[in-house]
Formats: sequence, C-alpha cells, structure tokens
Amino acid sequence: MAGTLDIDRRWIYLAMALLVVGLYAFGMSRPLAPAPESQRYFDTIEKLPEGSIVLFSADFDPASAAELKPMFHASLHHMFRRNLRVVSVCTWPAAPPFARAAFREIAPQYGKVYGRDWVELGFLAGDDVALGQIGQSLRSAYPQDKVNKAPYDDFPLLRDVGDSCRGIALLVTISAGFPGILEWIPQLTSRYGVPVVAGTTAVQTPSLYPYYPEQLLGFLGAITGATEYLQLVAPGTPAMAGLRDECQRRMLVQEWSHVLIIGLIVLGNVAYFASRRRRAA
Amino acid sequence: MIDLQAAASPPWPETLDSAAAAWQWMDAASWRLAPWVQPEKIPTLVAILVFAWFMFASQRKAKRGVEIPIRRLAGLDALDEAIGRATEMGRPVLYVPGTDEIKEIQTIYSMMILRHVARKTAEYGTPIIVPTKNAVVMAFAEEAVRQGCADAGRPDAFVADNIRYLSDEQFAYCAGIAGIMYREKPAANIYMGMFYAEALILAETGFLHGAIQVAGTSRIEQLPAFVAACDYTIMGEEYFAVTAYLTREPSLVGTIRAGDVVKVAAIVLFVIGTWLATGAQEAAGRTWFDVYQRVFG
Amino acid sequence: MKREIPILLTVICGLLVTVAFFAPAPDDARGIHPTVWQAINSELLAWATVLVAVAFLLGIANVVRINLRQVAARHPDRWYKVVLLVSMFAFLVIGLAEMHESDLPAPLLRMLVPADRITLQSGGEIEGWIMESTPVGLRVREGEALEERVIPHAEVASIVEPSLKLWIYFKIFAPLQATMFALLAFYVASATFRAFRARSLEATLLLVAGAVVMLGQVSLGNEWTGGVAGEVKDFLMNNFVKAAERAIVIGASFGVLATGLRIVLGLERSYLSE
Repeated sequence: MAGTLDIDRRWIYLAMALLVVGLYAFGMSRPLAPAPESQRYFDTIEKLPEGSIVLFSADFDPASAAELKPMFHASLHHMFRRNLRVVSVCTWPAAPPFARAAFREIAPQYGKVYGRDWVELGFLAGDDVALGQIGQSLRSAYPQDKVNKAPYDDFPLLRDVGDSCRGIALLVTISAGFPGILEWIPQLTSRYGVPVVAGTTAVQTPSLYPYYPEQLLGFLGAITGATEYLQLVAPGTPAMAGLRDECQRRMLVQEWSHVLIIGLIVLGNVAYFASRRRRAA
Repeated sequence: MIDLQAAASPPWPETLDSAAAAWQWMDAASWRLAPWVQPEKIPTLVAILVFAWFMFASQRKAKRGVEIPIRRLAGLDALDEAIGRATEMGRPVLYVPGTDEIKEIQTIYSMMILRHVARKTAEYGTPIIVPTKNAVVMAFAEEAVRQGCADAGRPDAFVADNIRYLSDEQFAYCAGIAGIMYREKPAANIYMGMFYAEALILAETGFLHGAIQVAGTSRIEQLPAFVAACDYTIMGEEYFAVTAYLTREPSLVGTIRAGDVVKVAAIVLFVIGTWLATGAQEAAGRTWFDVYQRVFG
Repeated sequence: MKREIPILLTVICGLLVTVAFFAPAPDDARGIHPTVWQAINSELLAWATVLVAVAFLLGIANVVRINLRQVAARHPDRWYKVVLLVSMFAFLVIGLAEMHESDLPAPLLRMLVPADRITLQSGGEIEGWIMESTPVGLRVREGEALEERVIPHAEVASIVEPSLKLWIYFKIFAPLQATMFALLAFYVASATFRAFRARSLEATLLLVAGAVVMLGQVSLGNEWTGGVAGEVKDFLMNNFVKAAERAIVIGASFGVLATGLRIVLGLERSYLSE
C-alpha cells in the first residue's frame, strides 16, 4: 500500500479520461434542485417588464465555453421569450464569434429583428477601462454598431439607453475572469446603480459570494448553475430541451469526477498513514 | 453649474440627538454639496485622505530610523535558496510576472520584485528567463532585468532574448511557458503577479519537472492552486509587503505600517457596525445602523 | 527630463481621473450640468483604449524579432518558430481582408475572402460578397468585375456567409484553447492526490473541507449523505469562505490603494527603473 504514494500520475490521468469519456458517452444525470442564487438569476430576468433593455455582455473565450456557452444561450432564449430588448457587448476579444453565432441562431426563433429588438456592438478593447467607458456613455464607447456599421443614433434601442446607462434595466454578464463580473460591479453597479446578474466559471464562483445578494442579485455557478437555470427556463421551449439534456450529461461527468478526486484523496491518505506506521515500526 | 432649486433644499435638523436627525443632516449636507462633489463619495475621499496621512506619517517615522518590524515571510527567504539551487544545477531561473497588463498593481509590484531577482541571478551568474503575456509588460520586464543586472555590477549579464513576449492569449501563453519548462528545464520557477486559470497548469508542470517553486499573488481564486503545487506561496496582502521585506526601504516599510494601522481601524469599524446592526434588528424607523451604512456602505 | 516627464504625466493623469471620480454627477432637475472633468475622463479613457491596442504592435515586433533570429541561427526548434510566424501573419492578413473586404481589389478579394451564397425565393443562387444590409436590400458585389447591385430583402430566401477567419477560429483556435483548459481536470486530480495529505491539523481541516464541498456541490454527494453535504457546503461557503474572501480582498485592496497612491503622487518610481 505504501507504494501507492509513488503512483505514476499517468494512471490518474487515464482514470480521469476513461471516466469522463465513458460517462459523457453513456449517461445523463437527474434533475437538480435550483440553488437560491440560480433561482434569483432566473427570477430577476423573469420579472423584468416587457420591452426593458438588457445589457448582455459576453466576457469569455473558447476555453470556458463548455461551462458558459449553455448559460449564454439559455439567457438569450429567456430574454427573447420575455420580449426584452438586448444590447450585446463583448469585453474579451475572443467572445464576439460566440455572441454573434448565438444571436443568429436564437433571434429568428422568436421573430426578433436586428436593430429593433437587439443590437450587436461587439468587442471594446481596454478591459476595466472599457467598462468604465461603457458606464459613462455607451454612445462614446461605441459610435457605431458592429453588423451594419451604422451610427449609434440610428437605433431607437440605443437612444433609449441614455447617458450613464440610465435606460438599462439589467446587466447580464457571462464571465470567465478578467474583465468580468468583478469589474462590472464597481464600474456599473456601484457607480451608476445598474442591477446585475452573472454566470461564471467554477473557479470564480466562490469570489461572488461576498457580493451576493446586495450588489449581485443572482448568479449561476459553473455547469451546476447552468443546469439548474436550464431546468427553470427550458419548460415550454423545445429548443432548450437539447441544451438542458447536454448540461445534465456534463453534470453527471462532474459528479463522478468529484467522487474520483475524493477517492484519490482517501487513497493518498491511507497510503501516507500506512507508510508512516511502517517507518515508525 | 447653476443650482436652480435652492429654495427646495432640505432643512437642517435642530438637534443631532437621534438617528433620524443625523439622516436629515446628511440629506441637507448632500443636497448642498452636490454641485461640487458627489455626496455619496465623500466617505471614500475622507478614507483616502486619512490613509494618505497615515502613509506619510509612517514613512517619516521610518526615515527617522524608528524600527518597524515585518514578520518573517518564508516564501521570500526561499527566493535566495531557489536561485542558489538553480546556480548549483547550472539551469536557468524562470520568472513569470503574471498574466495581466502593466496597469494592474500586482504586475507593477512584480516588476519591482523582478529587479531584485535579476540582481541576485546576475550576482550568481545564472540566466533568468522572463516570458510575458503583454508587450508593454515585456518592455518593463526588459528594463527591470537590465537594471537588476546593473545593480549587481554585471550589465553584461543582461540577455535581451531571455525576455520573451509569447502571446496575448491566456492558454497560448501558458502553453508557451510549459514549452520553456520542457525545453530549457529551469531549476527554479518564480510566479509573481496576477494569475488566472493557467496557474495550476503552470505550477503543476513546474512540479513535474522537479523545479523549486515560489509563488506570490493576491488573486484569491488561484491561491489554492499555488498552495497545492508550489513549495512556498505568498498570499494576499503579503504580496504587497514583498518589496518592503526585500529592500527594507523606509518609505515602503512605512507604507506597510500605514496599511496595518488602517486595517485595525477597519476592524474596529466592523465591530461597531455589527453591534449597530444587531441593535437595529427590532427597531422601527431610521436607526444608527442606517446612518452607519450610508456613511460606510 | 527623461525621468521627470513620465512621472509628471503619471501624476497629472492620475489626479485628473481621481478628480473626475469625485466630480458632481449631472442632474438636469437641479441644473447641474456635466463638468469638464467628465469630458477629460472620457478622453483619457479613450486614449488608454488606443494605447492598449497599439501595444499589440509592440508585441508583434518582439515575436518577429526573437523568432526570426532563432530561425536564422538554425535553432533546433526553428520549424516551430516558422509555424508560429506563418500562422500569425496568415491570420492577420485573413482577418484584415475580411474587415476591409469592401475596399479590396478583385484579385485579393477572391483569394482571401470566401464568397457568400445567397439563395433566392425563386430558387436561384447568387455567389458574391455582401457589403452591407440596407433598409432596401442587400448590397452585393458579384460577377467577374465584382459589380455592385442591391438585392431586395423580399427576394432573399437564405444567406450563407462562410468566413475563413471564423473557420480558423472555431476549428483550430477554439479547440486548442478548450484542450488547454481541459488539462486542468487532470492536473487538479494529480495535484489533489499529491497535496491533500493529513500531515498536520491545518492540512487535515483543508482536506476535509475540500472533500465536503466537492460532495455537497453535486446531487450524488447529497444523495449519499442525506443532504448533509449540501448543507455543510452552504454553511462553509456562506460563512467561512465569504468571511475569508472578504478579509483577503480588503487586505489586498489596502495594498492596492497604497501602491496606487504612491504611483499617482509620483512617489513610487521603481517601475520606471529608478
């Protein structure tokens, strides 16, 4: 047993790989009870009056797309189903293709028209400086839109935003790191009072608890949060059933990965104490 | 700026003997100050001025020669050990200054630490490799290493090609550093700055190559990764004490002391706030906790 | 002057942005108009954005310089450097071509940008390059001479806009990034196996808390523990983790405040190699 202290790490990698591939190919987890923060994320969007303007920020890249893309798509479905008007921005340079693909796929399903129901403004360089610019004046940050290269004032939706984001009812950010929700809160919520909800990766989720629920009204933590949200949002929308099932499949992988890691902790400690006893003897 | 509604200004309270009166006083003061400054930010301004005063006072005290002790930081003592080990093994030192831009305070601090590390490596004649994720950081890193070599009296030890801009993409940068570890096999890895998800990949790859690793960051999410995979970790506010610890420069030591004094003051305020919040739970109307929240919240 | 000018710029810009932060907020009802500080702040923010973008050029120059030198010196890994340089410039050229396709001459347009396919309501298909979507219809360049014409929206059944840039993005860049991120799963497992040993009281508390949070995070763990893991996890996250994170954030914020003050006031100059 003492020999397991020196277990070749490649056996650990192999075990993880087999677990992930096998479970992903063959399984699907059971429904989850939504956590309070995920429920509040859903409720915050659900309770917005029709026609409200939502600033929807894609703050992620392909690395975190596995966790965040389902949240992004589900949130967009939710917003269009509630007939909210959406202004799309990106603060990560690799985010615009994901954002554009999502809008092009989902907007036609609800009969949404570009320019009237949503506008794509694209990526703004400058990290948290860019967020400050957006907060101060969306017009000066984005003189024109991304799709038609038309002037900002050509869009009634954008004119309704006003200065200091006065016309924005809610900021929804799907964020993987910097810049993201931890920068949006001081730049937009604290300075201009814009309410915010966020979806984020597993690594960043613990950092959001200090802000919840006062500054951050609700959040989705990693694939667990995405799955819980999809369970709330998917009923009545066939397009989201496939996405929900996909997230539940990923949840199954996550569940058993956690079990594997706990098993490795136990194995490592058993071997450690066995070798200590052997040395003492 | 013309105030067109002076006649509508809230009245001052007659006395200040209740929370409601204090609230009314704040309403009146805010309304009158609004044309000159945002009233809700006045507590922030006062806090900055108080902190600045403490900082200058502590610096003066330190410059007068008053001893201000800084507790031992094991990770910093290990820096010399790490560089010495690399020298004995004839392998380079890898210094990763984080993945953020120069405007991030942690990156600026990393440049200061890099200068100190570069001086040590120049003294020992050990190569130092500094991969950067940002071109501007690369320029600062070049200058820091050049100055460090000059500080050691070894300007010839500076090798420009060892300061490398890899990529602005996080995981391309991470893959590039992993490649450096595989090919050039540094014996000591020093991670100082702002890190994100690549922290565990870097630290674990470094561990697998048998390097001694010292990490420092105040990024909470990545501290567990460094603690698990590195030999020494400097965490949170310890990171901002590194340059003061290494150089013992009076102005830096004084700044650390000022921060500690303000932290004690903050703790006192937390206790007061908790006491007021507890007392306000059953109360109706404006409470002193409401006043406290308006000032400090 | 070489030292004084950067310090002076730092102090002036830092103080301007700080003053703008505290400057009065516009209030139409009271006749408080936007001040010059907000205008200065906006301008400085715009300059900062431009500087960040320009830094990319510095980076490209550095990458080319170092890698070309190693290729010329016949470094053992020179072919990897060649791949890096070729792919960097190829993507740059393709991206620029798609951004400025309306300005490209015909030969370059045909070479660098795939044509869009427009299917008409009548069943016909047009291959051309869509320049913009106007209120009247799609403005398209088509044919040998790439003449422009407008196709009314009512005549369009569907559009396929292939993009070489997006193909590279979704087929090469995105999978590579996802692969690197996926390494974390394996490294977490090996780091956990190695590091989570009950060597001391603190280490024991760490591993027990970590195991409980992992169990409580998933429905399987809650099933096996009758919901206890989830409750303990919530208790730990909402109390200990929240408190510890707030403490670290507050402590680190004081460090950031101190350094920021020193830089804005021109007291901290070591980043300028003083």
